[in-house]
Amino acid sequence: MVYFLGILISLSVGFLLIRLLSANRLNLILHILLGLAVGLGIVGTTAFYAQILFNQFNRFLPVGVVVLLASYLFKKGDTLKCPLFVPTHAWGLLALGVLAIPLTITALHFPLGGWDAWSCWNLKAKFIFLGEENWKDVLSPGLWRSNTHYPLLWPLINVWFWDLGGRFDQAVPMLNSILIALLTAGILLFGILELTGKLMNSILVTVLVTALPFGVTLLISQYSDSLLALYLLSAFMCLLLAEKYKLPKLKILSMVFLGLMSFTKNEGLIAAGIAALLIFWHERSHKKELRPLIIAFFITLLPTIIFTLFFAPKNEAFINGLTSTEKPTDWARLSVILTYPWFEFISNKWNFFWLLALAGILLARKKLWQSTLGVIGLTLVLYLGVVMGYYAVNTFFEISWWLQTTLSRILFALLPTIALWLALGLE
Amino acid sequence: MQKLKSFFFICLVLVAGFNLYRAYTQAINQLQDRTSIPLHSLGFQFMGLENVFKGVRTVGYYTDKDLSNSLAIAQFEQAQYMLAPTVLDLNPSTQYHWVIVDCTSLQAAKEAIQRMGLTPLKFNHGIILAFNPHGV
Repeated sequence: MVYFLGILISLSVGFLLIRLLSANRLNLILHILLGLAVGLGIVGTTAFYAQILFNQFNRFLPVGVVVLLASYLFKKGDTLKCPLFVPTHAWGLLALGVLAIPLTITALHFPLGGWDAWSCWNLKAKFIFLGEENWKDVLSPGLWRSNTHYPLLWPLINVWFWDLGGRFDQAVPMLNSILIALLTAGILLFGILELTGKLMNSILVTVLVTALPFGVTLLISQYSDSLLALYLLSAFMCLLLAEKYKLPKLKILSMVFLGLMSFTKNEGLIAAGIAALLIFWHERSHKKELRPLIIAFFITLLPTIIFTLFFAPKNEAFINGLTSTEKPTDWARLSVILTYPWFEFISNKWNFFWLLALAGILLARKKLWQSTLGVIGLTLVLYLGVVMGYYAVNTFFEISWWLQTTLSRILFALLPTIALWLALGLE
Repeated sequence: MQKLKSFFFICLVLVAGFNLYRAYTQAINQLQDRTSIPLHSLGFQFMGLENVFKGVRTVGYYTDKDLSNSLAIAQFEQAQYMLAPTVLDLNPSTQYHWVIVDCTSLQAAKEAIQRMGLTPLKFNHGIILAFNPHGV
């Protein structure tokens, strides 16, 4: 019950923010889905500020944000007319219901999530919530295996729900993993529907991405990669919707999503930086619109900057292979990095996804590299380039093991955005 | 080009359908098989210790297991998860009041306890909770 109160408060924060930016132009379901996605991020960052300022979370802070946004809208004379629900959307909801069943069963089968859930993400959440005034023990050097230098958005979202309920409850990260998976699927489905008007295509693309059995396992693993996938997709979805409806303010929401994404993982920070720079470059001719975009990005990037500069310990799992004489970056490592991804792409676990994606890229031709779709494509290429570069430079881990354990997760986080990119390119 | 796009669409339908079928098959298998979750059960043997460690920020965790073995490191990390917010210091010297001793054999555990000058207090599923009177 308390869990649903947490959802309601998060949704209210996001719903009102989007209402402020979209002037009621989005359909009701997309409005709700994007609202909950951004709302969860906002309560997570609110939890971060409360932790660093008061050493404990204050459950009334997000309620305060809701009241603030509501009173601002009221003052602006915003009518409380509800956005429209279109009856054909019921088919989309039915598809989400069908996808929710395997997700829920798998989540119940792995109540503690995957290895990194209990050794990293949920461990951090437990330290923050149960550690009280000693919550910074989460950054202890002894916990280096839990990637102490990684940002804290996913743990803090779980902390917010625990705090609201007044106790640690393992069901919260499990339910949140299902929620994030369905939000991603919903935004992909209803976003493509909104942008193309093609219900069947939007359902097929969503099923392709969300029902991938390997993806189902990762989605309910309670990893921050799911959150990264959600925010990257949402950022580009808002950018595309802003252009379709000529709503420049919606681009601000896109930057908010990128800022929040930077607080999910270090990879999220890299992807957010690349995407933001490309969007700024794309918008360079709209000088008036560019300024609020930059401001929105840096405001939402602030928790990541504060955490990285003042809290994050040194990454203990890093050796600079370019300068190290003990473990240098050598040709053998580079050749593994250059060949391994191709074997990953044709691996059975992806069920032909990458072959289909390659066919889609060839069929869509130039369209994928023009205008906003070009920004998405370039972001994906540059991000993967930087990740590959990092694999080459950081020689702390044996490369075959590292690629085997992490590359699939990096690719998994890109699936919804790649699906969106291809769906629009092939329209 | 239109023919190619139609062929692509058919492939999309087939792969999406195949994924959905596989996702449901996987889910049904999971419903029928409740035993294939070995890593989760590793942490249960540490349950209850969190009550002993209330207010204690760090305790020692001594093991003679090969930590390059993924099962051994999984057990340590499950213990850390179960006992958070107490930090488990892996293979410490003898500075802590409490040390969890997790050895490959009872004999090895007894020897380690004797060597470190600890007093064994509790034994549970091969895990020993020991007290260090000289710890801080």
